[in-house]
Amino acid sequence: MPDVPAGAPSSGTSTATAGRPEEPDDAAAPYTRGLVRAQLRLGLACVVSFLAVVALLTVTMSAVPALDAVVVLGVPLPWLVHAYGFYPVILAFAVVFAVTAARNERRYRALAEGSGGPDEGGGS
Amino acid sequence: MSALPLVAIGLLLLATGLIGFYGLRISRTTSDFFVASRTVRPVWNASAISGEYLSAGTFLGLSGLVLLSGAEAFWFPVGYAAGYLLVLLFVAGPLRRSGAYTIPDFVHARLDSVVARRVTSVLVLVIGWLYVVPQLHGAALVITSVAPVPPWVGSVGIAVVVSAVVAAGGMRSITFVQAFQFWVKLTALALPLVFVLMALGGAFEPGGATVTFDPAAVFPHDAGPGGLDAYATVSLLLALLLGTTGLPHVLVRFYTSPDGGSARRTTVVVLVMISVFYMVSSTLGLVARVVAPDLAEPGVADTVVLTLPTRLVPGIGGELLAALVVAGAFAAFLGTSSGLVVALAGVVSQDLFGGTVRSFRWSAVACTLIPLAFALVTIPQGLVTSVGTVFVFAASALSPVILLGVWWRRLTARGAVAGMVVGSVLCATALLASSALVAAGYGTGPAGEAVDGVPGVVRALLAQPAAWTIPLATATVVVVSLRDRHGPPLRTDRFLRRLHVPELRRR
Repeated sequence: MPDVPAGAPSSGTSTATAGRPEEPDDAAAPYTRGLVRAQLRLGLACVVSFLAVVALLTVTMSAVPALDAVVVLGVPLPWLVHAYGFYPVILAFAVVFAVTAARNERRYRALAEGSGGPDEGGGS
Repeated sequence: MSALPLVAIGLLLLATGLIGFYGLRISRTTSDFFVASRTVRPVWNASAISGEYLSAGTFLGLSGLVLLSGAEAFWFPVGYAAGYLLVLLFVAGPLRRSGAYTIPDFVHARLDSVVARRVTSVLVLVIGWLYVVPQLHGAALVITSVAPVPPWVGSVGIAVVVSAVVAAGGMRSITFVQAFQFWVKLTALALPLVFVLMALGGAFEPGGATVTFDPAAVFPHDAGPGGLDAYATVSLLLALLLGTTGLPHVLVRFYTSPDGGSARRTTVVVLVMISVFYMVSSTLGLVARVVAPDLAEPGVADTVVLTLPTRLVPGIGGELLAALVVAGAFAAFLGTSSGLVVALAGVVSQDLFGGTVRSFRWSAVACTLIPLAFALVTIPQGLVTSVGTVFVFAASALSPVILLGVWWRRLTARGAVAGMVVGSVLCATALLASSALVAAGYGTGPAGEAVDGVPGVVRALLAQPAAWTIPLATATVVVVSLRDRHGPPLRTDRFLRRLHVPELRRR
């Protein structure tokens, strides 16, 4: 048996609460379901809008022939958009997601603590 | 041939060894070995993750592919970065909270099934080994271009160093080593880029003569974004987006963050770091098209980053920069390979030997030897594309199960196993059939039309299978899970709650 930290499943068991009695947490259950749904909605909204922006950028740089004539430092504009244009978009979505996900969790904590204690999180 | 590149490689290996053994001094428990005791701070951790993620594919291969085939090469780094975005959106926080050490651990805990665990372990090992092979090929390529030695010296050298460092220090050592290697890699491309751009601007020419070229000839419309193949692009992007989620060495890293929130923050920092690196690497590719069109041949193009500094920067300066690039390339091979070997050795030692430190060490050696044997008997392909192939396989085989495991409560062990088998078999078959067609000489006509009786559409579907293998694998998981009369494991709700509920604040 390796000395794993509390909360890590060792081979064969699969819950964090091995050896602890089950604690009822009915009070927080609806908030927990709400949190999972909110995080999933947030993730899906981010990925759909990200793909929409990518599609828009791609169509713009590949289907607008006039852009080929715009040359910056010897490189046509579509090439520059393709090489550098996508990363700012990715970073913007990452920051928006991280901030919103943290806010969802704070809101959950406030509700759950108000209703009688949150459930066990990960073992840390 | 100058001795400078060899000195640079020597210094890099020395620094790697020193940092690795410094980590060993404070690495004492099993938890240290597998997940660095979960105490790694976001910036260190992000450097380490980036150091691990940026492989030979993007360090050498990206510029080579830009030179060889034009702007379509940019889809690879864009897809790799976007793949990390998807990891952030759907799995970073939850997987950190799952408390598992490896992907098979997670599947086992989620589905309460040893069979599902074993199938996952096999796929993780296949993906990991496939990913190490291009790193070893890259090492062979670089060593032959800087020293009069046979190519196997590079591959064997990397394999020896990686297995030694991993076996000695485990995850905690590797975290320090990889963080250091990330900064080596970034410096080794950014500094030469600055000098190369100065050279193009005429800084080293008497009278400041600048390079003149015709943009329309160097950056032709057809090799640029205008020459887009819609199906191939969409399919590749889908694979790269979802593939990162299924990479063993990427996920194991989240377990080294203290909690779910810090795992998310770490991932944002990683995205910043790899984006900067990809932009630098892409710029070198653009420069290569201007000054090194003569290197645009398969097998040679991947060395273009090594030759740019000596071509443009005169005297000892150019040679020093070239040596720096060589050191950076070796940092790329070492960083990625050692991260993979840590993840794979963790899987092997837990599945077969009960997860002791001793078995971890032997597993690390074994997990390096297998891809080394494979690398020595295969012929190197383009570095970016062979790494891309690994993403296609990971996205078809593992990603659907991991994503559904985190978000879908009806998932069952049977559904997961069926989906993993269907996804990996379909994907492997398509990729093997595609390379068999190429090997048999079924070339593509100039307009992508059928040549020798194989329709172009079939070839496209086989060459980029992700667009149909991922949906089929996902559908298999869902249908088999819903029809499974056993239903999901009883503890599913408890486990999912653990994934999604934030940790208690330490008061």
